[in-house]
Amino acid sequence: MNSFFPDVNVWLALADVRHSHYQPAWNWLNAVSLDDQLILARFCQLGILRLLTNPAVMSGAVMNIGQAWNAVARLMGDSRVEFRPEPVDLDPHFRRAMAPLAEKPASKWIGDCYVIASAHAHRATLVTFDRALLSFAETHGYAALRPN
Amino acid sequence: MAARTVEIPESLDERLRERAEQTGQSIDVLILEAVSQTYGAPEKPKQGFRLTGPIITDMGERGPLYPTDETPYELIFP
Repeated sequence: MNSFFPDVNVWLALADVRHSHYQPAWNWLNAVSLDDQLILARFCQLGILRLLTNPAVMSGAVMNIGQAWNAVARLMGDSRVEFRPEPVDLDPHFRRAMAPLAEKPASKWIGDCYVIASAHAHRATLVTFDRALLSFAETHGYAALRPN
Repeated sequence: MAARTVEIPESLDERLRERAEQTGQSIDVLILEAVSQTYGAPEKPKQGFRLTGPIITDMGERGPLYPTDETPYELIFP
């Protein structure tokens, strides 16, 4: 069994046909076996809820909170998707992932390294459309892929 | 069922006993819950259901802050 850890943007691409990476996201998901596992972590759950309910993101398709929870429930209804809480031993993974960036001020990397560390702690492959994140993950020995 | 013996520090064992008294649950149940939360609950039965398409199928305009490649953390945790 393979485990995958899609980042927030990949979940959005799976949820919304308007996403520019909608087709690659679905090409990838359709190739994921029923024996494989997609991990939905709290961080990504919060992220997708926030994006689906933000009119500046969703425009006319913006959801209220109840609708957004229903959307998350639809995603989780797929038998490959499993909600996983944060591992108790995440902290050292998180710190290790961020170590190469210790001199940088850029806050975006904090979120990126959190998903890298989470995927790693869950022994899952990070799935992302973010080329910089993919490159960073691969350079530092983390399993990651970008759906094509 | 597998059997496993684990040594638990006294301080943690004390917290487990207190928690068990407070909740009326056995220490075994508390430990199983904690392990399941950390490493995943026992596999849910595979019903074979898989999503076959997106949830949002409306082809209307996207919002001005709609993401492309990167997750917009600034929108998630402003």
